[in-house]
Amino acid sequence: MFQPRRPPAARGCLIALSLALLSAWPSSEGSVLVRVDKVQPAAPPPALVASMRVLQEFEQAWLVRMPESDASRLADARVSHAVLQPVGDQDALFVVSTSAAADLEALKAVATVWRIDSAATLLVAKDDNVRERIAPRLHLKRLADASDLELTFRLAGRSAAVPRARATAYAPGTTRIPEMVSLVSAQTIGDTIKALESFQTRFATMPTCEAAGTWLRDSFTAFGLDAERDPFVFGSGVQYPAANVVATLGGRTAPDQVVIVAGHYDSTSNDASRLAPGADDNASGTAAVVELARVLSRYSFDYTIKFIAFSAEEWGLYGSRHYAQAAKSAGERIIGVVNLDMVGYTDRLPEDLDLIVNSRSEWLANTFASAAAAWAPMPTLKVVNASLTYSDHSPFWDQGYSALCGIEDANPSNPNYHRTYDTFSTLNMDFASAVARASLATIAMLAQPFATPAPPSAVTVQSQVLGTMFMRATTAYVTWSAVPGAASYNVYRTTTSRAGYVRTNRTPVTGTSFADRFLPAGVTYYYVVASVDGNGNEGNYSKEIALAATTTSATRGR
Amino acid sequence: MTRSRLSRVYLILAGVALVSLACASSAAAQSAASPGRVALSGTVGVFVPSNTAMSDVYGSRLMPVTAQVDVRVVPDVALFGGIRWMSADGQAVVLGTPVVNETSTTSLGVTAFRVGAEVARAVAPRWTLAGGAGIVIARYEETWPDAGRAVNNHSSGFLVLAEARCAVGGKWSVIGRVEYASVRANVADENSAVNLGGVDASAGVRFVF
Repeated sequence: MFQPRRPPAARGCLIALSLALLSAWPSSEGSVLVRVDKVQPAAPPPALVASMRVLQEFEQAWLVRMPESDASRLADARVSHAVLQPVGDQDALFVVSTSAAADLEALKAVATVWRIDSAATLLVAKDDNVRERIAPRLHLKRLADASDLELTFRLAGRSAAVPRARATAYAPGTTRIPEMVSLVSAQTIGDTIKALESFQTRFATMPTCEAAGTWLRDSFTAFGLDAERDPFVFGSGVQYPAANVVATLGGRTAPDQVVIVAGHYDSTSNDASRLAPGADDNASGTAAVVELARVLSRYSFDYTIKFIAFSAEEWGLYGSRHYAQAAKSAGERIIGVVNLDMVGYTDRLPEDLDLIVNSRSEWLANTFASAAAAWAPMPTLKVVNASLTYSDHSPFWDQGYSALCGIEDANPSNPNYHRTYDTFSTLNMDFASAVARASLATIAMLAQPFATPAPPSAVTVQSQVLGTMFMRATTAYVTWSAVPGAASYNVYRTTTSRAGYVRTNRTPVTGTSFADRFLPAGVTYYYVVASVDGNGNEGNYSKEIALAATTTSATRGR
Repeated sequence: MTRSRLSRVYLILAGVALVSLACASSAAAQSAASPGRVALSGTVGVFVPSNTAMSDVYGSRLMPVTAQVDVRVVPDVALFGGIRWMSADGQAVVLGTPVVNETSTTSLGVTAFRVGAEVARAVAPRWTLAGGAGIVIARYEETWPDAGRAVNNHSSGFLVLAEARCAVGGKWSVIGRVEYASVRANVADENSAVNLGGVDASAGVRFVF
């Protein structure tokens, strides 16, 4: 066999190229998926924790990806865990909202299946297009390569640190909320559901779904809101275009603070490409969002409100994932997200609205319940379970934001769910409008209806720690800019963000600074400032400023 | 302070009291036959804190007052027990980066009980040198009047001392004493401790019964 002889120079180049390729090639060591329990017998070694990339939080465990060599050291380090399987860079990971044996057997025909807990199962597929190969009734969440969550563990035998529930202090502007709530109309909510149903199918890959999105954008625009499409693509192999619809009501005094109410407008069914009316799932939630936009657009608020209709939720939460990731990258300061998904069907009366939250978002469910109790009474049920990832709230959890999912039942009981007969005629509009009213009260309360005198802006807080041999104390120096028409100011403090504010000044503060002295060190404090006019009327709180826990081991200043 | 640690402190204090009582009664019993076994001394000194955590707040010179009873048990060896008071006013220091130039007044009080043994040797007709060691149990209280806050606790450690005595007539002596004590107390919210002891140079008088 004849083989051409390479000249020495070419051979040298080839060797150099090979070396360069080898050095640039990723480590041949594979990574594995590991389920790491949140409760551990001892604190896991920091080096091992550092090698874990968080993919998903569940109620009792974290799903992480880590190098195989590090995973093999977990047992020696007494880390309670289970190695699920090696995972390739191209594998598509989904969370499926089931743990039923029959479902798991059926899913095994589609992909590799790992049961995580009673609410969630992990699906490792070779491509993104799993939606069409699994039962329509199963919820899907496509996992991102990494989340922004911080791994935290609890030692066995120690109870979880649960923030004390505190009464929510209402901002003065909330006195207008009853008027807003009274404007919610079951008729217009029903009209929107029927309009969305009229697109026949809103399956995210169909042109009619895009048309529905355009209709929603036009609806928001008609309310005078700044509305736009937020395009993205999803799917592997075949890439499908889709778009969220985002309408914005700009905040008046602190527009960088954002409150979101959302619902997905795409649908699916057992005959999705032809007919997927999705009246309950989720024209009902989308219609509530549109109704909130209609009413709230007539008012002004301290903070920005975003009304979002997500797409491709049924394919794996692609639209909300796209938005939440972009928001995090852009540094969007989202106070909270209220996601409405299936809020029109009642299997028994009185139906309650389940409020699904993770532990970080529990305050949001408490706020929703208290706002509902105050201004739009309806029964609610708080469900704290990080494993309930099946709707558009979950990608916000992954990015560290507070979010809740309002749903008629945490385990949907609608017999028409993901069926061609999920139609308007099966819905209870009294329930749907009650949910819209409670959601409106919550969103309005979070965004703070504008009131005079305006809250101070440019609020800052700095800390100084004083120390002796055996005591430490923090002084918080709060400053703000003067507000026209304000005669004095009140400074409020809390240790639980956005709740339980306590006034710290004994006498009215007439200047634009205040020193809050002798605070116990090592605690995170949150401050807001309110203006008071000459008649003693107090305005809304300023945006909240956090004073992070000070490290008492700081070096001495002198 | 935990309940078990507090119990231990009381146990040690009770032990010290028992030893002192035993020695005192023994000395009293023998005093008639063998005068000069028991001595009482009082000193005022200058105390130099051994760490900046204390000197930054309370200054580098403090003035302790000590009262001590010595009981000679064999010709050159005596047991001693005593009490030492020290208090100081100071200013809290800013930790980390200062924001504004303000601080807060603070005060410290330390009462230390001591017990130990010493060896004394006459080195000249009127001069005696002594050296000893013992244990110290200190009760300390730090107060921030502006904040209405106070913290108090106990801690224990050891001390070593050297003493020079000069007889000035009758049963009286003038004494000079240098001692070093190590009494470590945990600093609030930190994984470190400060030494409430340090170097103490004092002078006073001593009376032999």
